[in-house]
Amino acid sequence: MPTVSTAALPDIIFMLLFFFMMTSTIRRHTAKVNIKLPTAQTVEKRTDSDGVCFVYIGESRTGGQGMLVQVNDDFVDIAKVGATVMAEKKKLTQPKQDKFIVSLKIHKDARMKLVKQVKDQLKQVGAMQIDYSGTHSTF
Amino acid sequence: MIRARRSIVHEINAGSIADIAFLLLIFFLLTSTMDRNYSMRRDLPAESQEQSNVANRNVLTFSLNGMNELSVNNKAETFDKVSARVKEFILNPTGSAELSEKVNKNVKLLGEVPVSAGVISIKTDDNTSYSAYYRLTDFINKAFLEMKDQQAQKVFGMTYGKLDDLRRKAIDESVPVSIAE
Repeated sequence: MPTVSTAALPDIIFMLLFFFMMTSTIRRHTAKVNIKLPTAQTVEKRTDSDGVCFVYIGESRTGGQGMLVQVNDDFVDIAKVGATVMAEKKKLTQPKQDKFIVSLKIHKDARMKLVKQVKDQLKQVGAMQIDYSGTHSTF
Repeated sequence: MIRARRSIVHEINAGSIADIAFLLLIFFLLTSTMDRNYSMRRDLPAESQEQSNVANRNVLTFSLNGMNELSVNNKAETFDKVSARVKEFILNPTGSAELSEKVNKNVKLLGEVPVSAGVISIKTDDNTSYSAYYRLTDFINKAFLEMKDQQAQKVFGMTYGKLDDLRRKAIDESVPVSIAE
């Protein structure tokens, strides 16, 4: 019985591998909350991912706790967001600290009360550069 | 003797290369994410000095209430008119005394140009949803991007996106984005 030649299989797999390596970015943090980002037309691709601190606001996966705030990898009490963000900033090298930016990934159904509280915290500690993550749409 | 050995070892078994490649592939699939980071850049305003020394005509206030309904300067408005309202307010083509004031400013590369002193103010209720706020800022951004494009076309004959850093800065200065929250 003639066998199918599998000599080209590694080549195919390598091609897939290269494709995924080119199109994806390294995952840094895992959101522990469910977030559906709002859509917008004017969002831009962030050019450099250095010196970014992520603040996630979303629904808890276990349910029943409403909206939760997560800074980089950990859940944070709303009153401690500013301090935590600054602690994360201190961990970075000086050149990265100079272009420090806080990226807010917020669930589209979050209330502005919570968003304002987070922004006030950031203002208080002087983290003025922020960006609002969203999904790109072209209509 | 040597001859005999050569004829036995004629090729390396490449069967396991596929397995190794698979392993690498799975590793990359697990450690990477496909989601692109799209976002809107914004600088938080320093503690509000607004209102106090800005003339009434120079402020355009967008408010979102708890039901996500939009009003502009306390009059109900629809979202799709936001861009047009912002542009009208900033450009003030008719020179109306109700809309933003033009101040002559010396901008590098452009010389003396009239620059709008208009400030966009965004007010939200505690119960406003983030998506409504996002939508509003999106439309405001869009208006400013279009005005910058227009200005870039006018003075440099190119779209804003094609300008180099120096020219882009000149356009940024002649169409300043001032948003207070």
